[in-house]
Amino acid sequence: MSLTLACQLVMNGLVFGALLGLVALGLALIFGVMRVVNFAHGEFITLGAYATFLLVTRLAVPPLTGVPVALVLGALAGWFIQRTVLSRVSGRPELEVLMVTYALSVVGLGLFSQGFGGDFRSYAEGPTGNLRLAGVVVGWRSLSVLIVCLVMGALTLLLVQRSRTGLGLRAIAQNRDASAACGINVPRSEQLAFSLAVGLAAAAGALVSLIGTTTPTVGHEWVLDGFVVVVLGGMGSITGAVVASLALGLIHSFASYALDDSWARILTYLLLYLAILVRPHGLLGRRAEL
Amino acid sequence: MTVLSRRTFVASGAAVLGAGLTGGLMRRVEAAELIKLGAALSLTGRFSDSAKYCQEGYVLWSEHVNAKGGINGRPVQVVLYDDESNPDTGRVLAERLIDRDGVLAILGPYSSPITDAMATATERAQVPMLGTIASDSSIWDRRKLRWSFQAFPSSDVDHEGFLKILGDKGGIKKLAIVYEEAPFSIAAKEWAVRKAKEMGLAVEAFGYNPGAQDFRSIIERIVAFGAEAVSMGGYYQPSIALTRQMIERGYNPAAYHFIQAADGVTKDALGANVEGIFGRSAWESTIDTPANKAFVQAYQAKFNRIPSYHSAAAYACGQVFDAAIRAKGTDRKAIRDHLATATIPTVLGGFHANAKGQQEGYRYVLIQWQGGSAKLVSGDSGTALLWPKPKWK
Repeated sequence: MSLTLACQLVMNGLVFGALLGLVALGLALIFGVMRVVNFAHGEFITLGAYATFLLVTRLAVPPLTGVPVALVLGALAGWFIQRTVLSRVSGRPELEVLMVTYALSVVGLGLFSQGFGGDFRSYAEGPTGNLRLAGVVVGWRSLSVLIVCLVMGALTLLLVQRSRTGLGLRAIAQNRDASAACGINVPRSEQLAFSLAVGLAAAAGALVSLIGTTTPTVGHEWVLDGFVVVVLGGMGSITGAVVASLALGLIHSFASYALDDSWARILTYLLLYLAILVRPHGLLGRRAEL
Repeated sequence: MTVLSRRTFVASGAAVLGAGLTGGLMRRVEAAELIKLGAALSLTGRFSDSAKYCQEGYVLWSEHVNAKGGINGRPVQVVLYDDESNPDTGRVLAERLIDRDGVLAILGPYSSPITDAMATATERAQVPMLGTIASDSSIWDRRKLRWSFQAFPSSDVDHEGFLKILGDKGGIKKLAIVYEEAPFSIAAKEWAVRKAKEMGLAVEAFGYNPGAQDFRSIIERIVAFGAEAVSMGGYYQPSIALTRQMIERGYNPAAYHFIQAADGVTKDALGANVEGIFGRSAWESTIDTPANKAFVQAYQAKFNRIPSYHSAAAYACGQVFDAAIRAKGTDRKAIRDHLATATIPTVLGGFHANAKGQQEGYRYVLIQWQGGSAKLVSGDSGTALLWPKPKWK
């Protein structure tokens, strides 16, 4: 394999991994703070994808404008759902909460199917052309996705690791009761975490609509890999999710080239199995980590 | 829980009333016993956008046949339910149509999975059914179906039109086939690889997982192989992803075909880059035959737009049952035997099933995007090819 080809595959893997990372960040945040496996995460990706589709096709705005719009829309939707639905089952057994998020997913899918039908929605607008550097080719569209994901990922990491708000979130992840005893407003922090996570999912949806097509099930196709990343990175570990998503992107890129797409998939799940056996708390996770 | 959210009778009575028949003929038709045909269509749910066009095809056919005095003097009634785009609901509705409504035969649903599910019920009850929009031939490979017949071009020959063009034009030496790890796509790939080798082409096949979003590594492999032509045999969503990533990579094959490209949304998705892309289509409104022209004209008069292939396939199913019932009466076994052996002219072509019940008579036509619209390029009424494909913009 030539160096140029290897660089090309690295670049390809980073683009895929970065988008996957944005999806997984939200899942990790929700699990880390709330101990909730959010089955409805895919629906929020779909929300962002449809919102961007409507913005581009109805208001003729550039597709990347959809990212901040989807982020805000998703955050509002997350705030509303956490306040009206999830907060009412807070503290209940994990299986019950999981079923509630599953129900949310089914309701969301139904609403999108009713609202938009089953047909594909797509648009051609967006960055065109490609950048060639020492034989490595990357499209401006993919490069935009990569840059947006890296910026959003970095800002999320900064918020969680370096801010007072993030300190509260990390404290809740480690010990919810002790955090509450220390004066941290746990319900409010959970609301913030869920809103932010859903906002990130919707922003990822905006980017998914830019590189693919939008259907009521578009979010589901990303969220399963997102769960794999969260487990690999360490349940609830934000940094672990970022590292695992980029690693998964690179593994997928190289394995898919050297073997084939099916083997890349098989390797991914073998890795997941091994991680569960050898490092059940993930690459960078500890028992309770954010 | 199965909910029958909508029950719509596309009754021949209504069709007859609107058909402008003479009083005498109307009295004769109303007096005769109805021939009930059943259908379950995805009027709601993910297939609803396309399935509604099938409904229009069934409506138009039943109106036409009743306007001409029904079949053997008996009016036709189509009993229609909503399967909510759910195969399980489709199977339950097939049982309901057979057991409660007592339909003679079943006009097919939308999609292969629902056809597959409904076939379980129709085989058990020994009721003839046509797979209206069931391109997946593997349904008939996986088990022996005696009462269900494919009434849509087989997915096995998805790449046929494109390969014919490659043969006719010459100059292409290496072909890449991209396929989904799904039965219909694998079968089409195997057919295409065999055919391409017979044509003397060097061919390599590249599989991907269902739900795949990232084709960049596959594109690198295609580039390394040096393919001059690419044919993608998967669903629409991955096809668009593959195309966009080929554009981003700056990989420009001389000829590019993806089987779903005939869909009008392709232009929205790819913009100016759609130019020169080939696709296959079950039917095109521009096919220049008298029967097709009459169908298109009648459809436009009723619905005020050009019909889609879904409507044509549905109308063709009606024509098939019409011919079978005219020939054999209302004996289900006789109808079944007729469907298994006869060649029946329809707007989709000559319906003819093989021994497994798979469609052999219908063939896909090839379209190419030219000047922003999908043009028919195969057959006698086809326009000239745009060759080679213009470079990506």
